[in-house]
Amino acid sequence: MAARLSPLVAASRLAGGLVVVLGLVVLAGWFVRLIAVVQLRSYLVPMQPNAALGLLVAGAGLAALSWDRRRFALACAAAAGALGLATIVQYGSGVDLGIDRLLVEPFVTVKTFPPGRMSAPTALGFVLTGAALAAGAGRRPAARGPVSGLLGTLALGLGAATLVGYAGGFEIPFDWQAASYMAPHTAAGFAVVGAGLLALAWGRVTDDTGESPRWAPLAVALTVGIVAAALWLVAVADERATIADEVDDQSAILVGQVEGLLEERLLSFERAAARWRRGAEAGEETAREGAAVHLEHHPDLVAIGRLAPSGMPRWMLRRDGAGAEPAVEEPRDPRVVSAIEQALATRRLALRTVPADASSPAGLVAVVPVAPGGDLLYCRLSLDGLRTAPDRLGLEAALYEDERRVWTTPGMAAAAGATQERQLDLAVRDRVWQVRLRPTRELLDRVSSGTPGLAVGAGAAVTLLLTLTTRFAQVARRQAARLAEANRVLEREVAGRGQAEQRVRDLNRSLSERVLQLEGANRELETFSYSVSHDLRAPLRHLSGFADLLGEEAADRLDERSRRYLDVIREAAGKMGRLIDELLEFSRAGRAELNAQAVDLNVLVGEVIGTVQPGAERRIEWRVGELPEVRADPVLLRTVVQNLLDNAVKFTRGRSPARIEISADSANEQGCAIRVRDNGVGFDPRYTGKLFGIFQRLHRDDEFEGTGVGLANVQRIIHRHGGTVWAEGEPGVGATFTFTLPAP
Amino acid sequence: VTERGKEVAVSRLGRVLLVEDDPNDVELTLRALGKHNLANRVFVVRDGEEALDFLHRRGAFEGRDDGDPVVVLLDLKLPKVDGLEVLREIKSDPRLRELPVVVLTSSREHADLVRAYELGANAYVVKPVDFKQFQEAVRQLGLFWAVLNEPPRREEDSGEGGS
Repeated sequence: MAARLSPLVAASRLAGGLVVVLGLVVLAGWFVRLIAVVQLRSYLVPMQPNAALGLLVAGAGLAALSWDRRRFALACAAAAGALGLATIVQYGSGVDLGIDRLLVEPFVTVKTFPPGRMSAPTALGFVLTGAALAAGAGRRPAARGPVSGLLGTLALGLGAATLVGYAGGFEIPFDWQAASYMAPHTAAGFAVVGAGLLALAWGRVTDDTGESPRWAPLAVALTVGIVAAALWLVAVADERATIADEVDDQSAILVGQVEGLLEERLLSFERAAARWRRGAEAGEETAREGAAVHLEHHPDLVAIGRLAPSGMPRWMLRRDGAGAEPAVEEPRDPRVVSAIEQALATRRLALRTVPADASSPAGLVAVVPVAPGGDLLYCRLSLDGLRTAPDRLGLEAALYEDERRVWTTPGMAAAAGATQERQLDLAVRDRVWQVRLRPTRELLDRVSSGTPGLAVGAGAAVTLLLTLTTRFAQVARRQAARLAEANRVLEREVAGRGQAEQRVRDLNRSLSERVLQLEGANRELETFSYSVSHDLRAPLRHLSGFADLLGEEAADRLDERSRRYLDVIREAAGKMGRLIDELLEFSRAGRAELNAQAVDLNVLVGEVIGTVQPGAERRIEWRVGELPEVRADPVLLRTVVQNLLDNAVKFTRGRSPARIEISADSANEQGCAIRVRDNGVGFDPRYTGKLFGIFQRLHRDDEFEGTGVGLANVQRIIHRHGGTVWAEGEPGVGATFTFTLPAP
Repeated sequence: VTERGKEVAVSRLGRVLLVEDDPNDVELTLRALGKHNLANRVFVVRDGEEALDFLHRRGAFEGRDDGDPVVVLLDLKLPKVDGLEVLREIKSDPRLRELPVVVLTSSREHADLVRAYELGANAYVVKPVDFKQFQEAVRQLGLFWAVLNEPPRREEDSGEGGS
């Protein structure tokens, strides 16, 4: 377990706890018959005992998962899933497994079938929840992450969609055909469990990787998409209800109008008949004139005439001027015959519909007895005259008499919204017809608010927007994290560089301190050697000078021995003078600043050879090879060469001929090596180490004079140039001195 | 050259100003010069201040009317005003600038040598420890500067002293 509880995991734990409490409370409600928690409101569906049990198990599973109790979570997953699956099997097969009333005998059965069985959407919810829990308890990251999270999202969507349905006040979103509805608190339970599962999977991925899961946009898309779909269904239901209301209203208005219209025509016809009865004495001719006027005033009147009781027309006026009226010609229409019989029997107006025939459209035939003799007044009304009313109301209509269609508006067959068809009774006098009405496209367009389309568009847009936002936020965070990481690296680097700079500064400071100390020491040394140079040499000079003067002044008075003493004094003073000179030179070689420049060794060696004074009778064979040009302090380098050649000349004393060879290795990038070889007395290689020490000598002074400073000086100068010097020798054979100078 | 030079030298011997604080050195120098009859023409001062006083004819030398020396033999390490300082004063004084100054010192320090020539020394001689060499050096100096060298004539302004 992570040391720090991430907020998402904590939220999932809280969700699990809440749902456990919900399930417990509802279950308890069933046992103690507390309707308020079982059903919430009397018109709502109750949460069934199995649903409460399922939620309890699912919530416990979620909580267990958040504590990493996988085994327990898996058991809960199996229980919830099995409950859901078993219920679905019952619905699918129609078999009652008896699980619905296992816990408690249901006492609330509102809208539930069979009693006590949870709804199909609820069962589906448990299948989803169980699967999500099982995946979350798995070991594979893919199962624990996206699979569990997305299944949880589906459960969340199911619950949320149902709640949206309830909030919209419409049943369609949660009406599952024959299955009962999901209770609102069940829906809330699913929403919470689903959200918890999503949060847990999300939180685990975040804890593991420090980033939101890759499938986060999909989860957002699912949740928002499902809710948007539910909203769309609500909108569709709302629109359907609005249209149905409108069609109902319009249909009622239409039927009322048609009834009123027909009644008015019939009344008018009856009045005409009454007038006719009264004016029978005025003669038949006058009656016919009245009928003609009537025909003229009522445009939907097709024909009017007088029938004998047998049905034979005595006269007939038709709007189109034709004399014949097919309905009363032989053979007479059975409906007209039936109407005449009814009118004669009841002595009242009788009505029948007649279909369209060759000369007339479908119509309404009315007969009314007008004379004691049994004659009847006949009229035929065209139903087409009614057409204006449905047109205006946005409906298509068809009139049925005894299930036979007698008249229809022309657009009835093509009318939109067969599902919105209404059938109303049209009652006029003693006759009842059926009118089937369908809304026209115009009516539907007029009534439809466009809300469903809007809901689909808006839902899709919002889903897309939120999904993309999630995705972009992820990308942005990842980029930000990458930037922050780069920044950290840079800062570390800068800090490191700062430390390194600080170190360099510290080193520099201590270096400048050392340089100052060295400069001080150097100054002291200079003062010292200055004093040595001046003050030590002066007494020597006096020693030598006055010994000389003494020798001159007292030459005759001094014996041989005294004169030798004076010589010794002079020589000692002279030797000390030389020692001091060489010491000073040695000290100078160490102190003087290097004034490096190009030096042609061929020239330098040539010059030095010219100054070497080998003594009168010495014969020296010089062999000088091709020498390179080097970069060195010319004064100091001259001292080196001078010392080496002086030595070579000195130690070849007694060789005849003395051979002194000066050669160079071919220069490479490391530098060059200069070699001075002689065939002199050489030296014992065991003492090589002593050769370059100051005042170190390998020969007695009476063999070879010297101060023991020369080679020390050579070594010091070569070292100051960054080179090395070494010697090889063999007693009696010769010595070779080699020094190197680094490449410039 | 020498025979003829000697004659010329004797005829118009100039004075030598020796600036030297060490009495032993003074004695040895005078001894070396004395061998060539130059000693009685040497005027010795014992420090830099005296040397400057002598040249500027002030202090103890107020009213001195024996003319300027033909050469100054100057030690570097002197009490009060040191040799290089004396040299600078001489060479920065328009009246004394042409006066030849030979630095005669124990110092083999390269820095001293460079500094002396920078300040306009006409020669730089290191006193050899060996008396014979010293004697020879001083002798040649005296001969050259006091006898052979032709100093510029102030009136004629006939060029430099040479070295």
